[in-house]
Amino acid sequence: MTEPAPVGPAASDQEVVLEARRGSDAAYRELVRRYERPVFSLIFRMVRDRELAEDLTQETFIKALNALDSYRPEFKFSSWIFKIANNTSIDQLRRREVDTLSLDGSPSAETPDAVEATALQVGSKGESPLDELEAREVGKAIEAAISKLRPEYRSCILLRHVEGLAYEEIAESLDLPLGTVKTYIHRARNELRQYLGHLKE
Amino acid sequence: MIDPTTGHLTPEDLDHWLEGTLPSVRLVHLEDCPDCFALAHAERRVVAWLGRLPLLAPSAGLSDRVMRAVTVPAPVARAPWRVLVRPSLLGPRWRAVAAGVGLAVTGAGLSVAWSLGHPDQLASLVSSLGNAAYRFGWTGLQALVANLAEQPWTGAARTLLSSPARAALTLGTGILLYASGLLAMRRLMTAPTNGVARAHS
Repeated sequence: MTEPAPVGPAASDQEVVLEARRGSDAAYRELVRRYERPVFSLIFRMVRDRELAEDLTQETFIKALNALDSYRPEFKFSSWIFKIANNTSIDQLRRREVDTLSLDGSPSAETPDAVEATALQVGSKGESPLDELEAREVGKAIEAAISKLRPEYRSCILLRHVEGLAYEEIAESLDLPLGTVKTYIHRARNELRQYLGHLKE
Repeated sequence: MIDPTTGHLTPEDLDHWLEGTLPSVRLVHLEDCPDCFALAHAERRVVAWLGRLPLLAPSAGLSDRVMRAVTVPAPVARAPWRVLVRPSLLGPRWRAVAAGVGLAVTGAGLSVAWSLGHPDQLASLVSSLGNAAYRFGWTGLQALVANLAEQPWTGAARTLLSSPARAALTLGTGILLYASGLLAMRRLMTAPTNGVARAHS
């Protein structure tokens, strides 16, 4: 009998899952480390509230990791966890109809510090103040445009162009036919083009 | 792929263009059609903006919060041979392949062992099999020649090849017909030209 093997960044998701199923605490943490940013980004852009997104991200990981036995290794782990994240977000949107755009901080924040802490940071680092300001404005406009999309268009476009999933993976993640995914993405891009037509390159 | 009503780029064409896989015929249309050109470049801007959106990070300590709510199974025994085998090679498909290879190797090993133990019987078996194969092949060849000689076109073919000049003429005519056929096929398989695409736009 030997201890569970250590898991490192080079191991595939399937290998890490196998180690987690064998009782490796480190493997569970590795899965969280790998997917916390992609999952949080998707959920945040779906519900547009940082505190809520934190809670839903935590809920997503707890659901996923407690159900690792039901994960089938012939599918990509990313598709599986995005499916759970998307379902969690959609359930929340249906329950609370979150419509408040919170790029400037959570509506539930009560102090200026809390507002700052919950605001969405957009724009890239290492730019001049003017560039950074412009990038920030462009980023805000894009986030606002995304928030106007129907939730199903939003999850498709985010998974495709922000998370970089293939059409087939998105169809798998969202339990949608491939043709529907393509249609949603084309319609979403079409709407975004109209919303963002005023922006400069 | 081409929109049959207008000749303009379809959403799938736009996808191919964004991925750099749009066929050259459609690229020509894109360059010539101001509407498609503007649409494609606007689409590319949107996709580029989406691609620049940063992945967002949840607050620190997500992993710890998640792990407090996750039930990690007790570490289980790990068979020593599993340490040497990649976990991804333990799926049902790979097990079936491994079983097939194992059977083949076992069969080959038994066969070699039997051959080494019974050299006389092996030589006799090889000899009788060789004789049978020779007889079978020779009879088949004779039947094939007899069958060809009985065909109604055999006389005409003999006449065509009765002298070197006639044989050369027949061969030349055959090559000419074959080349004409290839050219005709090529014309049929060529995609519509730029002029046709513009006429639709």
